[in-house]
Amino acid sequence: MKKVKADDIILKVILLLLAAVVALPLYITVVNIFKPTAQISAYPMALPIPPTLDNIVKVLTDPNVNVWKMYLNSILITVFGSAICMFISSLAAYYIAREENRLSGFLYIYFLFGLMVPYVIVYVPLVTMFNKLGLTGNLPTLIMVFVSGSISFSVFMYHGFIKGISRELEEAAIIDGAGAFAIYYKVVMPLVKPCTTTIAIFIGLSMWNDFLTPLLIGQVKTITVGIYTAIGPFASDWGTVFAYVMLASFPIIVAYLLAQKQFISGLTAGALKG
Amino acid sequence: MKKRLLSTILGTAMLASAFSGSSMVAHAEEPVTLTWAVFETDNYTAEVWQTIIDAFEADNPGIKIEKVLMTGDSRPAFLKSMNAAGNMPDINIDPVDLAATDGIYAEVPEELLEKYEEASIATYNGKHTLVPAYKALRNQCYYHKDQFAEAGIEAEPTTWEEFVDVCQKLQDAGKVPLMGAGASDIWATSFGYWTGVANSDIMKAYPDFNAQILAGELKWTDPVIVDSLNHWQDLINAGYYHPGSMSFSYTQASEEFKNGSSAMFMDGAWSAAGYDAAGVTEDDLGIFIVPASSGAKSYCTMPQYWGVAESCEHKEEAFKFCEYVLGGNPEIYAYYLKADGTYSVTKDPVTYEMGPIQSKFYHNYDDVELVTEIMKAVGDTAMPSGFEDFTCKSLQNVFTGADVEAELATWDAEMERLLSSAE
Amino acid sequence: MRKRSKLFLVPAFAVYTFLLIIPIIGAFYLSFTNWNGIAPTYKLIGLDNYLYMIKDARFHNAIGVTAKLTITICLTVNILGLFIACLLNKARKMTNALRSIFFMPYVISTVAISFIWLSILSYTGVLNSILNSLGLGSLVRNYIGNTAGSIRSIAIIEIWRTLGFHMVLYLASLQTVPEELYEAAIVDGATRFQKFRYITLPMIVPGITISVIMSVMTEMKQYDMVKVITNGGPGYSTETITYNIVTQAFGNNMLGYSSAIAVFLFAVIAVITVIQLKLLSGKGAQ
Repeated sequence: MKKVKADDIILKVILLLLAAVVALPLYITVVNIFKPTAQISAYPMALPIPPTLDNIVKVLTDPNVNVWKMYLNSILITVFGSAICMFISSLAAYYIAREENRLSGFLYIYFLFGLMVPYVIVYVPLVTMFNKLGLTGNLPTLIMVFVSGSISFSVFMYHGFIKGISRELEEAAIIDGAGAFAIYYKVVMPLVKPCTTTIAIFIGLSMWNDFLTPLLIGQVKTITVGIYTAIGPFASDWGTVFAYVMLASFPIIVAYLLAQKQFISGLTAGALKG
Repeated sequence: MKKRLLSTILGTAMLASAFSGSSMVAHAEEPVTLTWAVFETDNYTAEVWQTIIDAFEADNPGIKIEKVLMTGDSRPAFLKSMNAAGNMPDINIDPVDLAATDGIYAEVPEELLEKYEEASIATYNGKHTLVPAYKALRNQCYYHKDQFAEAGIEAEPTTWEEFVDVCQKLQDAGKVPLMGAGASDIWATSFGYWTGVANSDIMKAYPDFNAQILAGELKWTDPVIVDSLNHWQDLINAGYYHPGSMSFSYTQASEEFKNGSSAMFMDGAWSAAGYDAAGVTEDDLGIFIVPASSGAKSYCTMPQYWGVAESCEHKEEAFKFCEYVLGGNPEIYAYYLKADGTYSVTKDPVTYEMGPIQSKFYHNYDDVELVTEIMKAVGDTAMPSGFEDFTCKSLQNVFTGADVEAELATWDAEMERLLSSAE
Repeated sequence: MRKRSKLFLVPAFAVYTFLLIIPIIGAFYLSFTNWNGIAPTYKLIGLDNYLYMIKDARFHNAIGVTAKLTITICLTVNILGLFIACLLNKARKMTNALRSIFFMPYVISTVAISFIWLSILSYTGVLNSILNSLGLGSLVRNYIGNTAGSIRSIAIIEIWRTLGFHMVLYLASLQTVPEELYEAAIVDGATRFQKFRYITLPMIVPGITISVIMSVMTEMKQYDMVKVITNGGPGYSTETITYNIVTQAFGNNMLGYSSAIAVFLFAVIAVITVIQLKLLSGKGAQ
C-alpha cells in the first residue's frame, strides 16, 4: 500500500514537471511583455519589476499598424464567417438528415468530400476565378471563402446531430400549422444548440487563427496576417514581438479561460466526429 | 426611381467630362484615390512615406495617395498575389520581377521618360513600362575599427589573401570576424558575398554574362563561378562567420553587428545612410570593398523602378505622382534618395549632402569599374521571374555546407525550366 | 406531411460548389497546363508537370521533410499524449487545472506561437541567454540555423502546440474504459503495466486511430510554422509540401506545376481519409 503511494507521488511530480515545461513559453511571453528588450535578453525569466507598458504602447501606437482595423477585420470574418456558415449548413443538413431520398444520399457524400481536401489546392484557381469575374480579394469575398471551407465540417456535424434527435416535436409543430422554415428555426435549431456551440468554437477558432487564406486571398490584414507583417522590422526587438503576440492571442485566451469546458469539448468533439 | 435618376445624371456628367477632355474638372470635384505599395525598413520609415504623400497631396489637390504596406520577405511575391487577387496597387515600388510579363504595367508616357538618363531606361519587348526611380550602390564590408586595432590589424585588406588573413587574425584574437544573416530573410544570406564579390568575379570573366547565360552559351557550373563560391565556402568552413548567422533575420544580424558581436559585416549602402543618421563617425566604423579572389575590381549598382499598374483607373494621375516624387519636385526627390542613400537617375542630377559614412562608401568606388548586377538586370537581359529567390535559397544551402558544384547544377536546371515555361 | 423545401439546400450547395468544388476542378485542369499565373495565354502540356515531379529534387526534399515531421510529431504526441492522459486520469483533483494548461497552446494561432518560439530558440534568444547565465555556455546551439537543428526545432514546437489536444482526446477515450475491468484485474494481481497492456490499450484502439490520423492530417499540411520561423530554410531544409506549392505558385510563377503538386497532396490525403473511414467503420461493425 505504501509503495503505491510513493509511485503516485513520483507520477504526480512527473506530471507537474511536464505541465511546467508546457507552460514555460507562455510564462516567458507574459512576463516579457512588461520588460524593456535589454532586460529580456539579460533576465528572460525574471518577473517584470518594475513593469513597463512601453512595448504595449509602442504596438498600439505604431502608425503602420492599425490594430483596431486588424481586430475589426478578424472579428468580422470570425463572426460573419461562422454565422453564415452555420446558418446555411444547418439548413442543408436539416434537409439531408430528414429527407431520405437519393438527392440526400448524394449530397451527403458531396458535402463530405470537402473534408479530405487540403485547402492549399484551392487558392490558385480561386484567385484566378475572382480575377476573371472582376471580384477582388476584399473582406466579403474572404468571408465567403472561409464559409465555403467550413461547410463540409458543419454539414457533417449538424447532420449527425439532427439524425439523433426525435421527430416528435417537429411533427407536433406541423400539426400546429407551422411552415418548414419556422420548424427549422423554432424547433430544430434550439434542439441542436450543443452542436452549434461545438461548431462555432471549432470553425470560429480556425477562422480567427488562419494565416494563409487572408494572406493569399487579397492580403486582407487580419490580426494574424497583421502581426506577421508588423513584426518584420522589429524581429530583434523581443519586447515588441511579445506584445504583438499577445495582441493576436488575447481575445482567444480570454475566451478560452472563460469557457474552457466548451473549448476543450468543442474542439475534441469536432475532431472525434470530423 | 430616384436611384435611376441619379445614375442617369452621373452617367451624363461622366460622358460630358470625357468628351470635353477636361477630366480635371470632374476630378477636382471628386478626389481620385491612388494606392501606392511601399515597404518599410529602418530607413524607409512610415514618416518618410507620409512626408512624400503630404507634399504631393498639398501640391495636387484632388489626388489622394493611400499607402499599402508590402509584406516583408518577398515583395515580388506580395505583388503577384495582389495582382492575382485583382487588388494590384496602382503604383508599385520594386516592380522589376513582374515587369517581364506583358500587360502588368502600363506604358510610360515618352515625355516623362525623356527626363531620365538613357542608361536607366528599361525595355521589355520594345516597350517601356517602368519609371526609373534611382540607382542604389550595393554592398561593402563595414568593420569596427576598435576590434581591428585590438587584433593588431593596421590596414584594410586589398587582396583576397589579405582579407582571409584579417579574418584569421580576428579569430586568433578571440573575435568573431564576420556576421551573416539567413533563415527567414532568404535574400540576406547571399547579399554580402554574392552581390559584392562573386558578381565582380563573374563580370570580370564574362562582361556580357547575362546575355550569354540566357542564350545558353554559358553554364552556372562555369569554373569561374564554382571557384568564387568555393572561396566563400572556405570562409564559412574556417568558422569566420558568427555561429548564429543562419538563425538571424537581417534586422537581427545588423543589430548584432552594431553591438559588436562581430568585427565585420558585408552590408548594404543603405546602412551607411543609417549610420550617418545615427551619428556614427569614421573614428569607430570603417568600410572597404571586399577584394575578390580573382583580383576583379568592380562594383554593381541596382537600378530601381516604379511601375503604374495596367489595372489602374487613373493612369494620368498615377504618372503625375511618379513624376512629382522622382524628380519633378527636386526637394522631395532628394528627400526620397537621401532616406536610403540612393542616387538620382534624372538627366539633371539631383544631389543631397551625404554624411561622412555614406561619403566614404561612395568614394571607395572612385577608381572602380561599374558593372551590371546579374540578378537585378532589367529588360531583355533580366533573369526569369523567381530565379533570384531560387538562387538565394541555394546559396543558403552552400552556406550550410552543400557542395558548390552540385548546387550550381540545380541553377542550370531551374533556369532552363523557368525559361521554357515563360515561352 | 409537408416536405422540407429543396430551397434549404440552395445556399450551402451554391457556396460550396462555387468556391470549393469548381476551384478543385480548376486545379486539376491547371495541373495539365504551363500557365504562369499572369500571362493571358497558356498551353496544355499533358502530363509534363507530373513527369517533372518525378525528377524534381526540391519536391522530393519537401516530401522527405513532410514525412520526417509527420512521423516524428505523430509518434511523440501520441505516445506522450497517452502517457500524460493516463497520469491525469488518476490525478483526479488536479485533472482540470492541468488539462487547461496542456490544452492552452492549441487555441493560440500558429503564427503567434511561431514568434514566441522564435524568440526562445533564436541564437540570441531566451534559451541561450538562460544557458549562458547558468554558466552552461558550452550547450549553446544554433537551433534554427542549421539543417538538422531547424527541422528538429519545428518538430518540437509543433509537438508543444498539439500535445494537449491529443492528450485530451486520449483522456476522453480513457474515460470510456469501464472501471470494473480494472477492479477485476486488481483481484487477479495484475501489475500496473499489465493493466495498461491488456485492458486499457485494447479498449482505446478507436481513440488511438483517431488521434494518429488527426496528427498525420495536420502535419501533412504544415505551412504556417515553417513560413514564419525558417521560411523553409536554411536552404530547403524545412520546406514542406505545402510550402513548396505556395512557392512554386507565387514565387516562381509556376501555377501549373504548383497545381500538380497540390493534386498529388490531395491524392495522398484522400487515400489516408479512405483508410481512416475503413478503420472506423470496421470498428462500428464489431
